[in-house]
Amino acid sequence: MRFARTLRLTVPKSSRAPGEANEDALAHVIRRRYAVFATADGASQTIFAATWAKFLVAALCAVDFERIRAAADEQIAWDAFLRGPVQQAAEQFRRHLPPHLPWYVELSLERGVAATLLVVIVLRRERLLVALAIGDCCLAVWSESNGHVHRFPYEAVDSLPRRPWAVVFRLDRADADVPTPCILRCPFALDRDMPAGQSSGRLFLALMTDALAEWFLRAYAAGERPHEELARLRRRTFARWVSRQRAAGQLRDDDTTLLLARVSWDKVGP
Amino acid sequence: MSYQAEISRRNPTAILFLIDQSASMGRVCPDGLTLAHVLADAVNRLIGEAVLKCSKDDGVRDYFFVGVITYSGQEASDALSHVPGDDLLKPISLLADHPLRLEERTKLVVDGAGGVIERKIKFPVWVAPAAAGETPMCHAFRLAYQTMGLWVLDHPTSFPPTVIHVTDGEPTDGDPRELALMLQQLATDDGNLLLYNLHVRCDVEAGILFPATLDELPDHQSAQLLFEMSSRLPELIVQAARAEFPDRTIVDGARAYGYNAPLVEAIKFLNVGTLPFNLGR
Repeated sequence: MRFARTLRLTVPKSSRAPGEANEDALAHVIRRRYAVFATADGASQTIFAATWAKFLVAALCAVDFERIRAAADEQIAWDAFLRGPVQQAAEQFRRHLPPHLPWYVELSLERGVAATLLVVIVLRRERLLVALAIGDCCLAVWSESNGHVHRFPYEAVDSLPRRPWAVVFRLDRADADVPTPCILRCPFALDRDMPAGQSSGRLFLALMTDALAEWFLRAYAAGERPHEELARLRRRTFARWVSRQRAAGQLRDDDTTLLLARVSWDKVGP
Repeated sequence: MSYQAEISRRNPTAILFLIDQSASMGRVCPDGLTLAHVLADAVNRLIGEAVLKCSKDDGVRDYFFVGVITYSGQEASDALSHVPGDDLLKPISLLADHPLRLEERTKLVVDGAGGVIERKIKFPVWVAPAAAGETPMCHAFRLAYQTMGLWVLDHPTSFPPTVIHVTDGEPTDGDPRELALMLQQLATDDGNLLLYNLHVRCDVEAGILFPATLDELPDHQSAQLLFEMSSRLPELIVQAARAEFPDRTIVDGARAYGYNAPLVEAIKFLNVGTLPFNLGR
């Protein structure tokens, strides 16, 4: 039995023309010993941002387990860990570009293609959750046993940056710019009031791009239970839910992406 | 509310530059370039930036129509006549694909090791600098009126178009005031056309920018003429002007006018005038 299950939901902003790329990307990989969940949000003012976001999440989900374990064992720092797959994504992105670019595409690419990034790594045996965030994609983590919701990297809507950091590819530079990520490193039992030594349970993760994160944090601050609302969403209802929230002025009209994951660790011993 | 329309492919806006290329624009500025050269560079940079802003995965999106009228000698002419299309205002995607030439320029950039290095960059040129003959300003305004009159008919719901006129002198073919007022009367559902007038100099330290009254100007006929020819700035542009010139007091009701502006201020003034380039979605 898989120790994690996911639901991936995304709706483009309403003003996006048919066939135009949704600039949010999400990916995940679940293996016996670990799982990786990733979301990226391409900056719409930069060219090929959707493609860059897709390459980023794909490269993060393709990371070798030994490298993950080395980072978990603190043999390499998490920010150094992140640079590997990002550079791999940059190489793939560069190869993907047509050989002859018009001057404006070349100049745009020299100025940079940007995407915010959130990656969550769950190590099953080690019972460790690590989240790395660059920019304003947000993570909410909660367990089924209590109501506390851990928010990362921003806990309140006022903290969301107007100009978030981003991972940037530049055509005229060999390496992509990788700002220092915010790092969350914690054991599975995040809940403050979970009895010590409890060895079973389920964690819920919600990876959200910025518009949804803003909605989530505002609702949470208002004393609502937005995590429960997210957990009830299904593929067939998501678009309708997004439309309703937008119409009510609760959700900004932007690409809206949610990766919901449920991680169980009740079958595995320490 | 005016000046609120979204600028999109379905609802593009237009920016028309009127550039004086009379003999006096050949005056050499302290940095060794002529006024004509500096202004041509500024307009080329603004068009180039607009192209970059419209460059998306699926190509260059036509959020903007752009035209350039230059005037000198006895006539006003379309400076973008090398770009395909019969109209003087061209969709930005056509400009993207048809610069007059691509120059290679050198730019100093930080090298990441505490120093700076020279880097070659591509610089697209649409408008070539020139300076000769007289100042047929009325010709230019007449052509602008004809061009913009047709454009607003075709785009009734668009963000109002903008005309930016740059000169260092006085008209030699009559009084353009009436034509300028007619131009300002052109409108879309979202508001009247915005007419900017920029009077440039390269031998002054600071000019008079965005005055609200004639009292702020010297008692000089040409200074007053251009003031009367300039639109009152809407709130949106007043805010942009205040952001671009934080040390200046720009009051509500200010005119879209710069008098005796040195080059740095002139370029910043052009940034304000081309604000719609930042509003495309």
